[in-house]
Amino acid sequence: MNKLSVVLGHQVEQQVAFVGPFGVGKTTALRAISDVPVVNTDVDSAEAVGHLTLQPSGKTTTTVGLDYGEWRFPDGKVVALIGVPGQDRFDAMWDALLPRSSAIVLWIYGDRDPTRLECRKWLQALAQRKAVARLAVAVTRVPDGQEQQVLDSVRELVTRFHPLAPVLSADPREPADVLQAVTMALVTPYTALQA
Amino acid sequence: MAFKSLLGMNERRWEWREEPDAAALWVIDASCLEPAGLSQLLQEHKKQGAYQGVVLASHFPAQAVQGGWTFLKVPLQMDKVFGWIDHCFPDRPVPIGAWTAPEQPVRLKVWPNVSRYNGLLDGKSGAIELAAACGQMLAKPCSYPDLRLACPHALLALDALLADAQQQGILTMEPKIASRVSGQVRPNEAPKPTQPPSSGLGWGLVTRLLSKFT
Repeated sequence: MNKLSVVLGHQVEQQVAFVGPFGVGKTTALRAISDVPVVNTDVDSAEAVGHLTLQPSGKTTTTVGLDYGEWRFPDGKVVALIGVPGQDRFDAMWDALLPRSSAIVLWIYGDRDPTRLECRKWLQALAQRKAVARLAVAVTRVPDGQEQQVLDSVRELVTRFHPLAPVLSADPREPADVLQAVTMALVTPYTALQA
Repeated sequence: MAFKSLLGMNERRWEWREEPDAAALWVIDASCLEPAGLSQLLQEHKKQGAYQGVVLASHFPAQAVQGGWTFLKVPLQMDKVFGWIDHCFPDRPVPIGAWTAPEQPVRLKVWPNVSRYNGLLDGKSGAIELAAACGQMLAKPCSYPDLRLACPHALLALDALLADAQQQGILTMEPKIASRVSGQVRPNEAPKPTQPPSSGLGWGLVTRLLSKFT
């Protein structure tokens, strides 16, 4: 008979949060790097069906709670990986999760006209929750040949909130890209945060 | 040998691997093979999943001219070889040969576009190492040898990134570290890997991730 181990207290040492607009790839990024199967709360989305033009991938589901994955280390410690719902109506969850995250990766579409508007909205939301200091901005689906232009545009906006915040292009399906974004969020100096 | 020499004259940096699986492109020297032998060789490589690279041959078997192979006729001509290189690596990040390691420690003013160098990384560990090295250079001046020690899986990417950063004016040279100038470091003392600039939670997690993915 298997012996169950008793765990007292909390094994989660730190948490990393992925935020960004609906359908950008937060859940995909989480799946790319989690050591455990991601606990997922995706459901069919009327929003997605109603705005299929916004979903080039044909995604018709959305996350209604949060997505949860983990990094597990040999000493038993755990780092929680959390995908936070993208829609405004879930902002209570942002309040609960963002201030206590060690790193936050903001995923932004690189192939949409309102990219800067979208990015500004998220940066303001993060700034209100004192969360920009631990931020990396990952831009997805950047059209071929436009990488520099798109990243420069986003970077110009991001520096108004945090002069050293990293901006990179990344594919949420690629574990190396996702790990790079998380690392950049973790190592960016805090002291550069604007008042 | 002639092919290697020609590559050496190109401004890109090349790393030769003995293990086929570790190579991004294969080079097959078939200059001594008859067309039938070359066809057989290419079919064998295709079965193994490797059909991306260049074949040096005196005759090209018609049935083998397909897939990802580029055929270069021997004796080799420089313009043909360089044309092939430009075709294969159109968006190569920088003229890597332009980077000359400075004696002074270096520091980054802002984040470079790190993802630009992902094609030069060795897996997940390389991605973490390169980002961590940039984080260190943003926080404090770092010596080039220390940076190399901290990036064993991202050496090519590190050089390319530094060369780019220097060209863009976002890399500054700092005064030499006093202890080294005054000779307080013993000559036979091995250089130590760069330590994270702070023991904060963020760097602690990066250290653990490096252990996990290396």
